[in-house]
Amino acid sequence: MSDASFPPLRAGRFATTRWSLVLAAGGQTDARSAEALASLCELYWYPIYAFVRRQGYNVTEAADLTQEFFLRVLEKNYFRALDPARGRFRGFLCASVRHFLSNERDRARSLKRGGRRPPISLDVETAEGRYQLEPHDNLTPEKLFDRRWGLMLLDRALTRVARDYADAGKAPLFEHLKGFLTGDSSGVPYAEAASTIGMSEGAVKVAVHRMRRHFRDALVEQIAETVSDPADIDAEIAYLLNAVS
Amino acid sequence: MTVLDGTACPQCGRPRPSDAASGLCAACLFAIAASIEDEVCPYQVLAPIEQDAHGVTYLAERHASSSRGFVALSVIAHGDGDAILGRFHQLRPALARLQHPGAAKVLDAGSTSNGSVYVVSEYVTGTPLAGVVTRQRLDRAGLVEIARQMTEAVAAAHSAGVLHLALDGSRVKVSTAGAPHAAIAGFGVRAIVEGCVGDPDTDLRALDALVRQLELRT
Repeated sequence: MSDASFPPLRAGRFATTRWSLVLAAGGQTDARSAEALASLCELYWYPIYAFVRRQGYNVTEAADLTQEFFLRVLEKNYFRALDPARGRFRGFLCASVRHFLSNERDRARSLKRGGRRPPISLDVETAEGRYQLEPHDNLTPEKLFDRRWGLMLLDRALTRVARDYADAGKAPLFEHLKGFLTGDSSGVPYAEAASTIGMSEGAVKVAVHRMRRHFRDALVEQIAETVSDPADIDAEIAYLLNAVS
Repeated sequence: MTVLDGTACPQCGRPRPSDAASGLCAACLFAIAASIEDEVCPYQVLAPIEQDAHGVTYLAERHASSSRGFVALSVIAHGDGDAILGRFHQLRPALARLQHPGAAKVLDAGSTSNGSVYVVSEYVTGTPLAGVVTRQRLDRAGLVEIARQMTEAVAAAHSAGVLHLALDGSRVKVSTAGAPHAAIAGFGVRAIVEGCVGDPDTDLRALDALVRQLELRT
């Protein structure tokens, strides 16, 4: 049973997520889990950088500390020392970086000292450019981290939906209707959108409904990669809704 | 896909972050995701009935239905799901107007959590028209009655604004238990699934052929 429009997003999504692979390894040497963790770190490094910067470190320090932090995380033994929120990758990373910084404050950077290869490719210029766009408000490093995490997940989910529509030959439909994803289309009523893209108003409503569902599935797919238990997904969505509000 | 936008969200009033994804309100996006439940197909599939170019049609019944009414549920394997559901939405008022015991119509359409699109029609029992004629199960008066009922069903459908566009002997089921009763299955299917914009004359010519088929055998 498959819709010819899009591949089913959620089929088998809970079989083995990257984070569940990492947790299943339990700190033991496992090539698959190490690779899974490395790829998660590559995807979600920016919230860590923002967290470190918000702690008051300058650009150079923050870049060094971020690299050093990921180096530690990617060392297997790190898992045994920290497990306050092992169920979710977001919670694990946030707790870990807090713990890391409290220990690292006065120590020389082993990464610099040892001249080891940085574990992730961190484009400092881009990261700092993004950080400068962060609101200058009273967000704590933890709240900024969560907010950044949520926005990144949304961005990834929307990118996935856009790509799926493009692959199905429906890129123009996505462009015309994406504004309706949030119920906000800058005041453009369904009838007007229908007239613009040559569809009936009813067909537009159906297409919007399907696009929202596709977006939701894409978001769930992204979140599922970062939790160990599928039952946590809805709670994570609720948490992130609060974090970005 | 980041778009700069620093304005407040007109939907929820919260300020949108300057690098909101696609310029959309992040809180509204999470709220939408939180509000959408898994879409469970409200029908239970019982057995396959037939397979055609669109996909497989199953005998099914509605979950938690108080009445034991069977339906024909077609899972559309090939076609544009958005367009099919849009056409169903568009034809819905006409389908609601169509109320005739001899005209079985599309009842519902939807998609499941994995994106499959299905179209549900009234399920019609009985012997296919060709079988009734071949086996001479009805006398001339019975066949005339069948012809009358088919004609009335087509007229009622056209009056409601629903065309069949695939009318043939296989779509007509006849019940001979008691008074003979004919029902035509599939009103609205072709328009919804294939997007056919037909002409009432197409149905009338097909009906004419069916009636002639009856007269030839008497």
